Amino acid sequence: MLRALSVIVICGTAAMASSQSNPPNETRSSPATVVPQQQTPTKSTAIIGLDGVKEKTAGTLNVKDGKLCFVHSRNKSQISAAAIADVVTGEDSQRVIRGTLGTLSMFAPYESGRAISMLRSKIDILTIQYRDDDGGLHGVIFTMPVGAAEPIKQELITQGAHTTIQTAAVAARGKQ
Amino acid sequence: MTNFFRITMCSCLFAMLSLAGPHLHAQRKDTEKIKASALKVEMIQSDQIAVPAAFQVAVYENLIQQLGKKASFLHVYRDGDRDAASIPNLVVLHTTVSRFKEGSEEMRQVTTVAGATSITIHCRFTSADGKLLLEKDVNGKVRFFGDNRKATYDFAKRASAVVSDKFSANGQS
Repeated sequence: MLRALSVIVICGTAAMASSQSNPPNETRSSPATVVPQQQTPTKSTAIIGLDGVKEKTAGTLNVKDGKLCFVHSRNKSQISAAAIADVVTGEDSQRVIRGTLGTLSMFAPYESGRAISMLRSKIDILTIQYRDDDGGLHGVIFTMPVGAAEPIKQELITQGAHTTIQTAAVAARGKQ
Repeated sequence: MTNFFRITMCSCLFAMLSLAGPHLHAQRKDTEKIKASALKVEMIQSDQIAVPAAFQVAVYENLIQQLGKKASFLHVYRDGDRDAASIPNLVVLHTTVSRFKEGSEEMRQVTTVAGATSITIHCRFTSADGKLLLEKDVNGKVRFFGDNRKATYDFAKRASAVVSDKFSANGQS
């Protein structure tokens, strides 16, 4: 009975994993077509580097009045767009089942935990380097749902942030 | 009988001292530390090897965090901090990626043996005027649990251990 159950779980998770492993271009618009627009708060997680914020803190991120605002549990952290020396986006993936439950799933019978770990969701990474008032360099990493990082990057660049990797749209605008 | 016992004891003592002396002297020489009052961490360089920006930032931030914990006798300054310019006995840490292998968290969890992420970083400790004080390759890796950025945490812990081993506020162990 247990064996049959674990076979069903493994088959189900493998099918779900294969459906999630589509190429990113199929599900998201290309960077060239992204147009800066009015920002609405985006759910994100501050992974590391934000002053006064613990690692892997969940909150919302938006760009407002020339500042990048990260709001978490009624606290607000702000970074001035003008102070941002570099803003870069990237892609990554994370387990759908994380935390304690994710760890416990590794002890599931017949190695079905390994199949569960194949269930992954794609995420965007926003990496920011900025200088404080003394000139000290800080680095911050945010993760957010797929497709959310590029509009934030464009909005930051519009409001005075710098970047070392420009998208095709910005590069084309610069040539004109 | 008593004389024989005394002579034997003296001989043994002499032999022990003559054997242990150079060893203790060498050990003391090894534990002499470099005097430093503050450490400035430069941003990691990776001109030759492509490393994701998030990885570079994670290395830099983890390093600053771990140095604050493990080498608390040093004041840690960030890259470009103007306050560091006037500090005596300032040590500058330059880091360059010398090897990077990006693995896969999914692969690690599915196979257990494959998909490890490892990063080797060449650390150069110099004085404020550029004189080389110490050079060392430090690596960080994640083999089983955690995402790829955990390799940067591993590196930061090892690099901080090197700093606390080789540097001190007064130059003595």
